[in-house]
Amino acid sequence: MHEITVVQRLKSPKGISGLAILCSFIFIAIAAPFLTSYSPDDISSRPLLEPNSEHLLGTDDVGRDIFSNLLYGARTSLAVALIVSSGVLIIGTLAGVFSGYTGGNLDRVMMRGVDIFLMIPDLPLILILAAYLRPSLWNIIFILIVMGWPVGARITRAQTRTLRVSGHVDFARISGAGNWYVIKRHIVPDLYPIMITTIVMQSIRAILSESGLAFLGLGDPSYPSWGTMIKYAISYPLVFFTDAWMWWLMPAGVCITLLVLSFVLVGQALEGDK
Amino acid sequence: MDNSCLIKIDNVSKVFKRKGMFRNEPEVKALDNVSLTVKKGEVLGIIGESGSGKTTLGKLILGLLKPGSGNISFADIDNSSSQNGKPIVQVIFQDPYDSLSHMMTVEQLVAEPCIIQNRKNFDRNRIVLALESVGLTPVESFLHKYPHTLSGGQRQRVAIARAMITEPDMIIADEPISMLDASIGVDILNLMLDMKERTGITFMFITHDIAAAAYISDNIAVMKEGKIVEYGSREQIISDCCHEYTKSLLLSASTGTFNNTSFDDK
Repeated sequence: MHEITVVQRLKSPKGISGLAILCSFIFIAIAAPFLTSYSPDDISSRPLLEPNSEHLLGTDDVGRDIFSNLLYGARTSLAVALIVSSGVLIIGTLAGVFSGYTGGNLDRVMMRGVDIFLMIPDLPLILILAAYLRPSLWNIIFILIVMGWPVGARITRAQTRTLRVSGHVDFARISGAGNWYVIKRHIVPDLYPIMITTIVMQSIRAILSESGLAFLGLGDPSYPSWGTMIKYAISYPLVFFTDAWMWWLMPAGVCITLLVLSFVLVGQALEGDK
Repeated sequence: MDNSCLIKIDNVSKVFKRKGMFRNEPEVKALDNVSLTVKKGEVLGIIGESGSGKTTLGKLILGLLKPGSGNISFADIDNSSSQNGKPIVQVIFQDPYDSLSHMMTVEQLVAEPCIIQNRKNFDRNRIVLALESVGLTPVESFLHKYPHTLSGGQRQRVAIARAMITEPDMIIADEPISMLDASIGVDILNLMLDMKERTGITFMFITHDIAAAAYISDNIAVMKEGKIVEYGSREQIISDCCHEYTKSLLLSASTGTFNNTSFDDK
């Protein structure tokens, strides 16, 4: 995949709509303080207000502005997605390239280690760890990276093994290139498509896991999160008997869906779907 | 070592071991006590069937594989561009789809050996000249193309330009025409002969096609099952070969695509 074709592929309808949604979320996250005058934690008004000109989506059961919670929640989700996907990308790529390029017994040992990680079911372990560790956003990020890098490492390693014996790598070696040159110019550029897929997949996974954990009450209460919003909304006994679910529960769910959808669309566009 | 020799291969053997999980699978003897000398300025054709060890021999000379036993010695050459007096050996691979990185433009591909040798600085004119000399003209229209937009013959020309740019003492061409159709294959062979005439470069031409080998080579070595079964000048091999295998090769070639009359054109 060349840089030109990356741009071309993103120009498909799917790519454009995915990028548009993603960019608007990024904009919301960055510009949150300018879009709302309330802090998400402030008990700014009477509880359970209906949407009005001051509170665009009303307030929740303790009087916090739902709209500003929604905006700041985008920050949390995007930050988790960014940190987890780049963490998985860096650790996975480094481990995969190293293991695949070195080969031999070291490769075998590392890959058995990766196998063990891949065998452990993700979500139960995250639940257990999140329950035992303090509920903090960094712990969630840490767990998601630890459980995510073996996938990246395995794919990267497979590609590295193929490239290591390919003609252009042989030619570079014959011309006198060292290992570092071969990795930098011949192996890593060929991994770009895999890296992009890794970022997309891991972002989706991070957003869903973070929201899911927050929904189960294992999230970080000090950060506003869409999962937490849904959790409070659902646990409020009367939410479905009034119209409150429409502005309290639904926007957070729609946001999660849209953000994940945008990543899926971008991913599909990069894979060449129109 | 004799002055006219460039590379001397002494009783080289190479065995590939296959490690199974529970038992070792049978070994593959790719080369069995091969001795061969490559003379300066000649075109040495190596012919043999698949699995006869000809590519392994090439890889050993290139240093991609280590010989299991025996010795490969290089002549000392006064060459300003090479360290420790060892001749520069370059290669043209069989598969032009695999040997050119699809992430680089033609310019980057041809410049690569220069960049590896002298770090960043290289002469852009040399790249243009190299591309001109392999017939990729107008050069400007090719410089920024990616290999996947080129045809097989053009790719192989890029591979030749890339091998020639560091002015090597020897080029190992590992079945350079076997993936091209016949007419383009002849063009590539003529290009290599032309190169040899102009620069006096030594070629080692590995092929399974005895007609192509006869067309281009000065001397021919015939390999079978890891051994060199026959070695001699082109005329010797074509006219009075002794080994059964060479005879069968010649017989199959005379009914094949290459016509025997093409030997006389050279």
